[in-house]
Amino acid sequence: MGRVPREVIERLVVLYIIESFDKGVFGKVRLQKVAYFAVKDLPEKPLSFMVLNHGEFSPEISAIVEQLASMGYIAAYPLDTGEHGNQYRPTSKGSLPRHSETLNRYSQTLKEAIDDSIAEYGYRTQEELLEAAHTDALFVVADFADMLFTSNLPEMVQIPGMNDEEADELALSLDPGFISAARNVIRSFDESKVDFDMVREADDLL
Amino acid sequence: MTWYGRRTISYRFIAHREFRKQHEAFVKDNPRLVNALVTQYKKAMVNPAVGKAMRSIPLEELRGRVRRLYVGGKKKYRFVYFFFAERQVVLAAWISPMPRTKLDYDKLEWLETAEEYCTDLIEGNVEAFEDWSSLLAL
Repeated sequence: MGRVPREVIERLVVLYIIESFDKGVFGKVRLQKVAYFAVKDLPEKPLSFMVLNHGEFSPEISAIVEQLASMGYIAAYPLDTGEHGNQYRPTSKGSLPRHSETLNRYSQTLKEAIDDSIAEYGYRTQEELLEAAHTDALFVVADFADMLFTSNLPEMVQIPGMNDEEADELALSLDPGFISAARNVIRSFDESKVDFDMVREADDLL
Repeated sequence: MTWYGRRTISYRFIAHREFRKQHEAFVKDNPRLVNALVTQYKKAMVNPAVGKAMRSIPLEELRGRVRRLYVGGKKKYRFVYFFFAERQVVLAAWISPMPRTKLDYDKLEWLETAEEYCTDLIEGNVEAFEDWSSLLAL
């Protein structure tokens, strides 16, 4: 059974949410609230949430959105509603079936909770969405800056039905450090002035 | 296509000095896997497409050019290399410093190592690289 770092699941969850919307997610607040409602009642929570200015907020989501953009999975465009903020769209819809399957393998419960949350809350108006969020049972008894709940995934997460190689591919493909490093090397090589005919031969391998 | 003695080698296997450090550390820590590791180097050199490509990333420039092979039972260690077909070069990149099951992914220094490669590639520092092709052809 393949295993991946918990951060891979966290990124996969956020990416899957963005990919599942018809035309991407309109605004970070919407993304935050949909994710909140998806995970709040799950025994195994991939994301943490606390109370900040707009209510339920996950610091992980905020960071992950930037990471997904840096890896080329999503792109940010200005909202066309006249409001400040961005809509987040996947750069390729072709990955949705694969990510859906992977998430389902990891936890059918989690995937279905996300699907249900998008269906229930994803297309509400901003006002309706915030109304639902601010009347949520956990939220109404919390104070500003309180943690509503913390992520409780283990450091390494097992994915049933996934072999070691598939798990490694998944982990690398959602590792911002690896993707950036690989991209930098490839671009540098393409611009390289190194004449490989002049590279000296090694004397030994040990 | 380049000839080395009686054998044809399709690509040149190039290693940066930073990769040599990774290689030597691996050899020191895993003497029983040296032959297996060198076998993977040879495979990458003779047929770079043998390594697993990154199929699921959105950046097209990476997909076919970043490849990986595994060393040790149950794919214990990962060897990552770049494959530049147009210049017939295989550039060795990273070896897992420890078994993948024990890896702390936060501690992998992808960007730091890459920076070394990138600086020397851009500045044309030939002396930072070695050609391992002849040794692997033996």
